[in-house]
Amino acid sequence: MRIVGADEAVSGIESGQQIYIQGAAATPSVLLDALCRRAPGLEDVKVVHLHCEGPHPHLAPEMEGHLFHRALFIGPNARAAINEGRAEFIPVQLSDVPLLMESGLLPLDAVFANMTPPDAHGFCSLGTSVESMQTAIRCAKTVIAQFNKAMPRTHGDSYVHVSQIDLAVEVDQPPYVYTPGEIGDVERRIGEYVADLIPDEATLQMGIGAIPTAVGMCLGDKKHLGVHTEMFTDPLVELVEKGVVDCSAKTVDAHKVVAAFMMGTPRLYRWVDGNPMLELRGVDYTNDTATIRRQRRMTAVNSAIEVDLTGQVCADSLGHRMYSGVGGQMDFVRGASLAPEGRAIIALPSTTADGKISRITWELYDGAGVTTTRSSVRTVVTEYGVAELFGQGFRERAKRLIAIAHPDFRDELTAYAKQYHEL
Amino acid sequence: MQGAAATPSFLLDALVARAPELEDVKIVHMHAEGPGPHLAPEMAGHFRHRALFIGPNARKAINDGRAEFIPVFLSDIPSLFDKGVLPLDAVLINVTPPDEHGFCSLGTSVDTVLAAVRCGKTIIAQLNRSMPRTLGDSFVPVSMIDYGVEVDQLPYEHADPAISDIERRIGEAVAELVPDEATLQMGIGAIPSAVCLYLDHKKDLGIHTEMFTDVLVDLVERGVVTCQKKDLDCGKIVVTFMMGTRRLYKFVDNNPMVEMRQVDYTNDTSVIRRHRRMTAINSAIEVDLTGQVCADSIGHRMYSGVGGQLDFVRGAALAQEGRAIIALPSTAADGKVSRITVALKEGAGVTTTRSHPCTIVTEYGIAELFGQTLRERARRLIAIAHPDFRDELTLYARKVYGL
Repeated sequence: MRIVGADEAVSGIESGQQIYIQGAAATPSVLLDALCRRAPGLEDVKVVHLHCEGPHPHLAPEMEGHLFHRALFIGPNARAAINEGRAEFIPVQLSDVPLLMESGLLPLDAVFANMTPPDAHGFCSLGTSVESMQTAIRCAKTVIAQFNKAMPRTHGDSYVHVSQIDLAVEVDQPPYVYTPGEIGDVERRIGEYVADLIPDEATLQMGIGAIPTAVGMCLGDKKHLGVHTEMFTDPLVELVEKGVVDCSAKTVDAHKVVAAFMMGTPRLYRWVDGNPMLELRGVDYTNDTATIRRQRRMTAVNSAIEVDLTGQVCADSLGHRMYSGVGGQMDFVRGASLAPEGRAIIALPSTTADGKISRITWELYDGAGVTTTRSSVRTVVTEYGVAELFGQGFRERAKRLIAIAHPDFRDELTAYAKQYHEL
Repeated sequence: MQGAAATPSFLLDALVARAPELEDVKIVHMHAEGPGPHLAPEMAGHFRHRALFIGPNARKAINDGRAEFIPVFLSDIPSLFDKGVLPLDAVLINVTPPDEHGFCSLGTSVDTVLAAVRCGKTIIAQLNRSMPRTLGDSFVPVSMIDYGVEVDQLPYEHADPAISDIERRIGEAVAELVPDEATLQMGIGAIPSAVCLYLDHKKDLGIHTEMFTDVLVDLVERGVVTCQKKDLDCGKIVVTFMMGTRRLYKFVDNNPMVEMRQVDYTNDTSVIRRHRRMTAINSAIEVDLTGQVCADSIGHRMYSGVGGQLDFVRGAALAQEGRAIIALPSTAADGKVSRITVALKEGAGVTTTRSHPCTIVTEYGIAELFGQTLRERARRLIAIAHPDFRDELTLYARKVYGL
């Protein structure tokens, strides 16, 4: 391992190579900036990552031909590049990404990581994002790291020995901050309905955004909740501090909050720093249905873009336009459904923000991707209530979904359902 | 009602004879062989079939709205009964007469029947002298049965379909993907039959599947299937039901090599993934250029059901050296319609999503989709589409995926 400057760290990157970049709050922006400075001299370097926070210079139009992003999950800042054809999306379950690397289907010439400087034993912590990083580091030919004094030292399967690292750049830059938006009345009502479905001693999986935040606000009177999730966030820390989440009733990893990465405010990053209650694990553990289903009362709360009247859930695309990715939705839906007393919830507002388009649709938009199939879906929640779909026929599904659609669209949906499902 | 070859037709006929005095009796089953008298138009109002999988004889009733389809994984049906989501007043079964220990074998269909027998209020059985006595988790104590009717009737037979040239080519391509010591899951029909024609030179194959069929018996008799290298249930053929000819039913009768298990075992991904070289071979109605697989519907018209496809696709993909194959002819309707489509038909259901690792096979070759971008997927799928449709598909892919 050699400590070098940022430009030297990326000087070995050559045209045609493929690089994996640690994502989310841990995006190693000093290395990424250096790569972009070198980009004019490079051709067709593939930059692979989940969603990356920050200014994302590698996605700018002038990088076309030099850097090419291959997205395993599409962050907001990558949408334009993807839909303009300057970047590409690989549909893959998050839990399969390590397998993709190990099988050689995604060969990695280099990996850019962002971690704590080595401790007394020579170990660096991957900080806020463990995701697929252990596998990436094992598989990549060159490992280039930011030794970041401002990275929280997280516990779990988060440690990389300094001997596994080829080149390192010393930086002092806190992980990116994510502040959740305002919670509206719609989200608040959804939060209440979802919270009603969560029993004491449940283990939660939730994502990020207004709905999970609203759900978190409604859980104050629950007891002994646990967390086994993909992404750890501020609302979950709040539940730990209120004593609602103590993980004492978890049937796997008792007393531990288990997650694969995190996004939030400095308060979240302070809480996780050196905290033995948090166990970060690779996505092939956190998102493995075989792990998830072992948690009694596992409750998965996920969102969607649209749900059709048969219960097909689209969460990754607006018709042909790619929006995000599949992440861990299907794994958590299936794992929670198979868990003893488990429950898989898809929670979404009944309409788009302007109220003009119903998210309960008679059929998915042309080109839309199905994230959770109609045989996998269980409970759907909007601000108008709860629809249980498990074991229901098409007619009953349509009836129950129309009952939680926005009233403005119910007639239209009913007319359609009459035609196709003999409602 | 117990389904497939074990459909208890004496009891069903007796029930249908009572139809005029009954209203809205729900008859729940997977596909049931035989004439399906309860599905006739004049039964509307008296009986309503709720299909957990749609057999050919139920398609019309479903699409006419006289019966309905419940989209559900086969592996989840026992929990539908156990959790009371699908309460059962009675269960009609077709079993062997009790042996000297008082046990009846469920014969050719174990599938979800154990859970049904546990949950149903009244158990009515055909005690059938011609039902093969299958082993495994197939026994019901006679004390659990409320009424028995003595019958002597072979299970329904299902002859192997003729294999066309197209299916032969698909079979050959699929067989190349099956390594020695692989454990197979296959369904029934011309493509699985064609695959088996090309497996003769393989060694020590195993079987862990939903449905057991004649062509698999051939492989056992030819010494190709031994199950000796299976990591789980070594030496055993594990299945949950079967469909075939008299010869199949003779083979399974009291045969310790055949282990019948309930679907929540055979179709459980966490069981499936423990088999090294697990190879799942399933079919589809259409596949779109992103890799979304539709296997249950033709647009809004329901065709079959989801069965175990996604469970086996996922289990095989997660198994060590495993592989999930979706094999289908490149066209339908005498070559007029491409099954590789720009977008699924309006109303179509997605059975296997584009994020599930899959290998797609047609008579024109093999497309590996795992880890591929949308553009590369389109390119690979067009390469195995029928040549008549490639230009059209390419034009579309250019527009949408910048091919």
